[in-house]
This record gives sequence, C-alpha cells and structure tokens, in this order.
Amino acid sequence: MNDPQVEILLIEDNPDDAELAIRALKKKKLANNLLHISDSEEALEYLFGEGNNNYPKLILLDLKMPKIDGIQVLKRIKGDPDKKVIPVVMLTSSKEEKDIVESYNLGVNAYIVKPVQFDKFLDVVDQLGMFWLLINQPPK
Amino acid sequence: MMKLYIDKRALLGFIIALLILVLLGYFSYRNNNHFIASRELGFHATEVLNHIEQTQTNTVRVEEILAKYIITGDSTLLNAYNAEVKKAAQHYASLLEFTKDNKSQQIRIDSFKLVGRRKFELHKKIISAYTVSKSQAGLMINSIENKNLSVKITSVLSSMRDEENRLLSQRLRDGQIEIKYFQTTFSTLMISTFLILVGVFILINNSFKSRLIAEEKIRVVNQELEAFTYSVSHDLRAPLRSIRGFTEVLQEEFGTVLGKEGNRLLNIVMRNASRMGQLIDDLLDFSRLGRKTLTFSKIQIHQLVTEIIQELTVHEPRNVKWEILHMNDIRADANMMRQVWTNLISNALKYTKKVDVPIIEIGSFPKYGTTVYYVKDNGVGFDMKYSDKLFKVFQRLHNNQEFEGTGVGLALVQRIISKHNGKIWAEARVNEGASFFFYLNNPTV
Repeated sequence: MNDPQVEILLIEDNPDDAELAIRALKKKKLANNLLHISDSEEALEYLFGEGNNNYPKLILLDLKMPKIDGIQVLKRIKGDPDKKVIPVVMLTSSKEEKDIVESYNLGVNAYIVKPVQFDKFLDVVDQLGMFWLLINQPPK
Repeated sequence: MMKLYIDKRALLGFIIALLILVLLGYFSYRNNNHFIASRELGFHATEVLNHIEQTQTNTVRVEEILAKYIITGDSTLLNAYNAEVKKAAQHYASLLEFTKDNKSQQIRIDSFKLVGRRKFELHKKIISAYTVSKSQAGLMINSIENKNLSVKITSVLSSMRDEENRLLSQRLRDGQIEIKYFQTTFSTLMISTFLILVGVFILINNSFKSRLIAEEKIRVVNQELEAFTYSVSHDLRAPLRSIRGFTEVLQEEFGTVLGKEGNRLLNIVMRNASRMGQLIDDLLDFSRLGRKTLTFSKIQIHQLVTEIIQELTVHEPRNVKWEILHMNDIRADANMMRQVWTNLISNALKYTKKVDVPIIEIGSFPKYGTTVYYVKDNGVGFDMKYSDKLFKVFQRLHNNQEFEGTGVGLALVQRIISKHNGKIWAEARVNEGASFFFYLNNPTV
C-alpha cells in the first residue's frame, strides 16, 4: 500500500454503505486518493504498521463494526501522540446519545448520522470533505 | 383516607401489638387500683382490731370501777363508770359501722350487744341493790352470772379479733397471688408484643428486599430494551439506506433508459424507504423519551414559539395569519418543551395547508390553578368521536396521501406532557379547525 498520498481513509465494513459513500465523494471530486479498508483490524495495521509515515488527511470511521468497533479504533488513533492530529469523522446509523458523547470524549472531530436519504448524505459529505480537506490544514 | 401499601400480615401484627399495649395499660391500671384497695382494706382491719381492743379495755374497766364503788361507796366513781360505759358504747357503734359489710362479724357484734346489754342490766340491778344492802350488792357482783357474762364478753371480742386477723392474712395472701398473676400476664403480653414487632420488622424488611430485587429486574429489562432500540436504530436503518441510496443511483445512472413509468416506480420505492426511515426515527425518539430524565429550567414560551415558527417556515414560506398572544413563562424541560411546541405548531401548519386564509392562534389562559396553553387553527380539523385515538402511537386520523406523517408526533407530545404531570386534550370539528390545549402541573413561574 504505497500510494503517493492517501487523502481520505474510509474504514467501513458494510460494502453497500462504502459504495454509496465513495460514490458521493467521487461526485464531489473528493475520491481521488481514497483508500477503503473494510476490516477494522486491517485498518489499524495500516495506520500503525512499521515505517508508515504516510498519514491520511482525513479518516471516515464507521462506528459499528465486527471485532474492533469504531470507538476502539478512535481510541487507538486519538491515544497515539503522532496520529491524534489526523481528523476523524465518525459515521454512524444511530443518534444514540451515549455513542455521541463517548466519541466526543475520545476526541472525534465530527459525528455524522448516516441519513436514509442519499441526497442528504451527499450534502453532508460535501460539507465534510470541503472543510477537512481544503480549509483545515492538519499540522505536518 | 390514608392509602396502605404495607403487607397485610405486617398490618395485622401492628394492630395486635397495639391492642396488647392497650391491654397492658388496662392491666397496669387495674393492678394499681387493686393495690390501693388492698392497702385500704389493711388499714380498715387494723382499725377494727383497735376498736376491739378498746372495747375489751373498757369492759374490764367498767367491771373494776363498779367493784371499787361497791367497796368504797364513793359516788364520784359512778360518774367514771358512766363515762366508761359511754366509751364502750362508742366503740361498739364504730365496730358496727366498720364491719357492716361482713356478715359473720355482724353476727358476733349482735351477740356482743346481747351479752353487753345483759351485763349492763345486771350492773343496774347491782347499783340499785347497793342502796338497799351493801352485802347483797357484793354477792351479786361476785355471782357466777356476772362472771359468766364477763367471760362471754371476752370470748366474743376475742373471736371477733381472730376473725379480723384471719381476714387480714387472707387479704395479704390474695394480694400476693394477684401480684404474681399480674406479673405473669404483664411479662407474657410484653414478650408477645416484642415477638410480634420482631415478626413485623422481618416482614417489612423482606418486602423491602423483594422491592429492591424487583427494581433491579426492571433495571435489567430497561437495559435490554435500550440495547434493543440501539440495535434497531443501527440494523434497521442500514438496509433502508442501501435501498434508498441505490435506487437513487439507479435513477441517476439509468433514469433515461427506464422511461417515465420506470422513474415513477423508482420514486415510489424511494418515498417509502424514506417514510420507513422516518418511522424508525420517530419510534426511537418516542422510546428514548421514556428513559430521559427531566431537567427543569425557566422557559420563555413566547420567545420559544416565535423561534419555532421561524424555523418551521424558513424553508416553506406560508401566508398564515399568526395571532400570538401574551403567554406566561413556565418551568419545564427545555428540549422537551421545544419538541411539544414544534409538533403542535407544525401540525397546525400541516392541517391548514388546504385552507385559503390559514389562521393560527397561540395563547394561554389561567385555569385549574395553573396556565393552560393552546394552539388553535382553522384547518381540516377532525371528528371528535375519534379523539381517543389522537394521542396514540401510529394512530392517524388522516391518510398519508392527504397529509404526511407517521402518527408519532402527538403521542410524543402527550408522553412529554404526562412526564411533566400535565394533561393535553383537543377540541375540533370537521373542516372547522382544531384546538390543542395543555397544561403542566408545575406552577407557572
């Protein structure tokens, strides 16, 4: 996995949700350097693997995944002195308060409830990608 | 009347313990009275004995004085004689009075009286004989008859003394038996009260324990329910998202190939997927509300209503004639109040859609010692015979083609208001509009 520069890392186990997200990002021309990993364990290996200094500019993280869930992945990222600067946006199906509170406590940068309506999702992705990729410059 | 929540057996135990306490009080009171009475009886007996002794002394002295008189002829001794007789008569009268409730003593006193009278008459004869013959009187005083009378008097008096002593010791014995009886009863009652109270304590303790266990069960069930709604919220929404999302993609990429009818069908799929999503969201809101605790703060209703109207009409301008009257502030949960007003106002907006000049009036008035708030519209209204269905989940009085909705809004509103110990009701007529009234039990700020 030696891409020149991964801009967005999408960690999502549901292939349908992933496809819709990638489509939305493509539509907004934000999917040029997108990497999709469907397994959270693999994603952690990618991020914390030996000699990998190639951090993505933005991580889109699904909350509910088998084995290691989104909260645990978030905990690992935000607990690491080097990687905690990477903006993480939590994607989830629910607006359960406990998840939202927990995610913010762990230092998530944004929290998005995946809407049933796809066009709404497009809007969300649009705002999201624009802000984190263009406006917000993470420290090198 | 006070409502009882206590175990029936515990209540019975309490009642029995109370009755025993009353009984104990009664026993103590009675025992005390007995004690006082037997002490008085004791005094009485001593008094009687005293009078018997005195009478005995008097009769002996009367005999002595008379003998002296016969020997000396000193007429002053006659006065002394009379004085002693009088004293004896007084003691006799006292004894008669003191023993009037004792038949056997009365009989003895009667025989004393008889012997005494005979003695007195004999003495009278002796005194009158003395004026005739001194020796004759001397013979009479030493006669066997007079001596027998003296012996009889002494024996009657001593039998009276014996009887009284017997009575006294009898009373003492009775008193002791009574005290023992009282002590036994008292301690039995005491111990049974103690045991009953211990039993009642155990019962109450057990009922508390079972209540705590029940509460724990409810907590577990609530947790399960929470986990259930959580997975419903996640797992039910995900496939819907795909249905809706990919239908949209299909329409975008192959819309031109599918033609007009194909697109119409796709729209139906998308609309229903969205509606199902809305239903799930509303239902989750509704179930989540049950678990929420209220956070009270002062709310400026007038300002809140103005804000909500602005939010609701910003994307969908309407030519509604608004009549917002003055409204009192209220203490309630701010988020929930916002939900209540948003639902009521958006309902009013929704159901006045087909009216030419929609008028929505919002205000309050004092009633039931609190403030009643209302939202009144001139929309389609509804038939009052269905009013009981109005606040039930998924119950709708209009179909989805006419007016969109999931039938959760008013159920949610009612749940919020009942969480605030309040009440909501509606008045309406078909095609003449509807009014919704509610009050919270919390006094107006």
